[in-house]
Amino acid sequence: MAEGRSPRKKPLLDVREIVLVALLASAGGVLSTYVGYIGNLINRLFGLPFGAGQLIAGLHVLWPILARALTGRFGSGTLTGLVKGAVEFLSGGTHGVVIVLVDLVEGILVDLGMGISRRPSLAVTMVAGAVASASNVFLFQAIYFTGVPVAFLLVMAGLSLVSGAVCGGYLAWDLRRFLIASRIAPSFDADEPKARSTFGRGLVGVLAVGLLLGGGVYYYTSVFDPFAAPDRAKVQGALVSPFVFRYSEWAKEAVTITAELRGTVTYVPPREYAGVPLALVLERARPKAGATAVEVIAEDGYTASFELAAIVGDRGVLLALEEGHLRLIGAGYDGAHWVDRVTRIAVR
Amino acid sequence: MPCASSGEISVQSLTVRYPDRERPALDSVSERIRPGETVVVTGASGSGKTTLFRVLGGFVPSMIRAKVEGEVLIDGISILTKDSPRPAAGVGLVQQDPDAQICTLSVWEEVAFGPENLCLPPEEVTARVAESLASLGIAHLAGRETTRLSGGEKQRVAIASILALRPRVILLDEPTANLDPGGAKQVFDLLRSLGERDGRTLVLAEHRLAPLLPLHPRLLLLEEGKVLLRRPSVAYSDLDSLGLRARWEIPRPVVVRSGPPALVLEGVSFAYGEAPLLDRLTLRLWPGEVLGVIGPNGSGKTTLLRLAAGLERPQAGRVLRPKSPVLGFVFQHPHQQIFERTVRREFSVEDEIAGARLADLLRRARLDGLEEAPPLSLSLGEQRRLTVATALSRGPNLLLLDEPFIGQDRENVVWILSQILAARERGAVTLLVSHDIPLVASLCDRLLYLGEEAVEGETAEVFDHLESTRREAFTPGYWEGGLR
Amino acid sequence: MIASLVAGRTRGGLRRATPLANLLLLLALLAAVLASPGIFVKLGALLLVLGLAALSGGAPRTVLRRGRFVLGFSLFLLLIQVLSVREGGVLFSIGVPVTDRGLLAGAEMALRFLVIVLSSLLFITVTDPDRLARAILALGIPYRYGFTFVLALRFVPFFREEYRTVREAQRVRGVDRPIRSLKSLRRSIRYTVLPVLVAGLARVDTVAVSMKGRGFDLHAKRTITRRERWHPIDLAVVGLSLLLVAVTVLARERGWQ
Repeated sequence: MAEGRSPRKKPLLDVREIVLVALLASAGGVLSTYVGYIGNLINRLFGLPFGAGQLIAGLHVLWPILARALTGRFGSGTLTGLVKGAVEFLSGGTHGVVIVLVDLVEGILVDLGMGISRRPSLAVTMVAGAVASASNVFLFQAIYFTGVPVAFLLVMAGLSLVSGAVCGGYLAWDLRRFLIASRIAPSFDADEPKARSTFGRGLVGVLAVGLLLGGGVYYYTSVFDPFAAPDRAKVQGALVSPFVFRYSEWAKEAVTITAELRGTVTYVPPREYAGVPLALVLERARPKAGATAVEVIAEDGYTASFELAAIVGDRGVLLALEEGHLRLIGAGYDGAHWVDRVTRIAVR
Repeated sequence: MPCASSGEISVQSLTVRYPDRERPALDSVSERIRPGETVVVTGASGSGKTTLFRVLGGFVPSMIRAKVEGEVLIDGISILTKDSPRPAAGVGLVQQDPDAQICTLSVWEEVAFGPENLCLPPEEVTARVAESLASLGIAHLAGRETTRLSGGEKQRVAIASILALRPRVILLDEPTANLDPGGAKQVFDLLRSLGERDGRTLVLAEHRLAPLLPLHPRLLLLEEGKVLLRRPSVAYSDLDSLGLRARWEIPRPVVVRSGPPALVLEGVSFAYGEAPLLDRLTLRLWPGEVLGVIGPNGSGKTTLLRLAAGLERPQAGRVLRPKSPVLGFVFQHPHQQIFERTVRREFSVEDEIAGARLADLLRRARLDGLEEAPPLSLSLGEQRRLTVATALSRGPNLLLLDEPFIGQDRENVVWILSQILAARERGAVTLLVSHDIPLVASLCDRLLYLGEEAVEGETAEVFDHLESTRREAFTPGYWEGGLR
Repeated sequence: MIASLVAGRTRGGLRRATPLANLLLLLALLAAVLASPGIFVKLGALLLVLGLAALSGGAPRTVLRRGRFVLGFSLFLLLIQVLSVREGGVLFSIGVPVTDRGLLAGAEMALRFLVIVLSSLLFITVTDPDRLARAILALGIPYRYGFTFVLALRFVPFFREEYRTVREAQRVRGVDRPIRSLKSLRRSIRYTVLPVLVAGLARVDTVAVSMKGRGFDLHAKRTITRRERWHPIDLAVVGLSLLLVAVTVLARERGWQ
């Protein structure tokens, strides 16, 4: 038997690490039954149909964290999350294929949170667990609970955050320490170089994760709206009666104007546009006293700002329906104020 | 195909030390194994067998870290390199646990695993899978799911997957230790044909020697990492003089079967899904009785313990347990019932046990001085004593033991026996599930064989019945060398 | 293991398609219910799933066993929207006003859930994990990582058995009532996770030795002897998936609700 060795670069995970990841993912997938069972018991204890189970949601991120902590390898958390999700899905878990996405995101956040340091500190591990665990609330919200009050969402995320820190980060860290004391932690090459001062790196890690967390929450709650129906926009902010604008309901209010688009790169000569005057929309929403500005915000977060007083009397600023999306037509305003794919209108 | 002139192993003053262990796992071992030879390595658990096999297979130190001194040559080429193990070096290792070494979902894929990794062309892979399965007489398993095989089938598939690499040397590390007697016999029968054909070098670790003697092996006895003894050949008569045969002389007091029985199963039936496990089983056991439960895996032995413990309810019939049952349950693997951080806390999982009582329990389990140690850092033998001691700490009148002797050395087996005998003295009813037929034969008053049929009766009667119905793997004769 | 979920042994419908085609269909269904506006496309997707299930050998047993949970959670999703959506015309009042918009939004969420869960169950019912694993390995991802998936599936029955035994050991020692207090919850978690974890770790070396000993990771590539072949039915499944995506895109563009 001739043996030809292909030249290889050093892989991310060696065979034992791959085996460890597979075993942890498998164990985590199987034990998700247990987590579900305990979650149900807790729900029943609080008399809730669901939700209080977030108290132990951290047990789901325990496995990617363990993989990451035991191998010391960046990337092992993501792989563990993905494979654990696949195991849960294929063994008939209650959430179906969605769980693959949920577990994958958790795994990625574990890797990002724990950073590239081989031995992240307890604090970093707990923060990573918290962030990863809380992500499930936002994913499920995006899929099944759009339009649910933000306060409710934040309570759930809070529970999950604490659980991820304790049942995920702390438990993983404690188990690893116990396994080492019991001399049954598998040893990997990553163990060899003794970690030097970890304080600085730990601090950087905590900061990075904090920023990530803050940014993520901000982006999620204020900007990102992946499944917004294209012809709707939320009218919110300093209003007496905020509501959701839907073009089809307002179509009879539409007017036709002629406008010219003068952008820095685009120029469209004067033509006719049909749409609902923004002024009418604001009239229905009744801005509170003291409000001064209107922000028109697009799907991707792009924002154009108008003076409230100027808009109220202006019949040349319209919300038009173009190819199923809302577009702001700003007659008399420069191109930067013509916002395409509008999803929110906020009064400040 | 292997040629007769290759497959030579030369070990020169080999010493292996694992990190964190004081004693070397192997200590200046030198040995030469000629091509085509069959060698049996025996010795207590912890004597260095597995380490020797992992070195010969090329896994230490390249994959499993250890400090290695000396030299190991296979056909004149050193295998102690930093590189990963090379199956092309012609050595294949079959490990002890049949379940853990199978890593794909179907038998065909499992046997093709090696050839595919070696990048052989697809036609060659197909041919090798067919050849390997056929040569072990398991071609009919090709389409099966690996997770649905019996232990004996799994181990034969593992051997087939090694054969598909066409190794010159086959290493088998206690290939039958985790199998039921029937599965073990299948593997032993297969080894005979494996050794006699093709002139491969065969190195086996095994502690039950009688069934291997038809292979005419050379014998190597390891103790604490050193070669204690070499024998060019072994005969049945040598086993006793070398102390290599399990002989048990256990006093068996007469059980008085009068008064109310302590445990009754009446017409008990139980099934998982469609396959019935127990079918209208009736049993009566009196205080002080020890019932041995034997039979192939998957025949309902553990289920019987679960029913007796009240962990499962029978689907028909009823189970009458002692009036105030105090249960002692020893599970097959110690880690399954070890929960706590220290030995001391492990005793207090149910009720607080401390002070003189704890000291007494520890002393009797020979765990004194270890009360603050993490239980999982103990040796397998110590973990077993710990689980038996915690199970007995409340003075059970119903003692259920699931394979308590697996992987235990003689000293520990004697200790476990003494605990069972003490419980019997106190009038406890004991159900002992075990594959150790000679031990069951000398300990138990009565036997229950669960298999294609359920047979219950006096120990000798049951063995006679099994022998006359050609299930000799379940009789002491097969294991003690009484049968040829 | 996973085959234990298979209800009928018929070889009809999607059972004949290759796992990758079925996976594509599953993802198309997922995209359809997540990205389509309103309820029409979602309702169509639900009917499609039910039809395919009937064609492929009846309702999977798991669906029936889960019936209560699936229906209960759908109703719960409906209720949440009805209670939190204030816009639209008021239809009637149940303490709080119920609006047409609220009902529609609720129906949307419930349909989303039903399609996702039922199509997932249908997928695992018609898919042989061994074939799926092989198909994934043949996709061209590095086989060392693809194999993680095979290994994980391989050890599911082992961990299930370990979990069961550990729970029994807890019952025997009287520590099986998990949430009488925070302390007992902590104990239950530790007593369950630790033994199962230790069982897994104890296998790492054996599995790795078994794989390396048979040449795993020796070369960057490995032979794939058995490949899934594509048949007309697979093209039909792929076509159906593309159609679903096209309908979804159209629905978004045209605002079909």
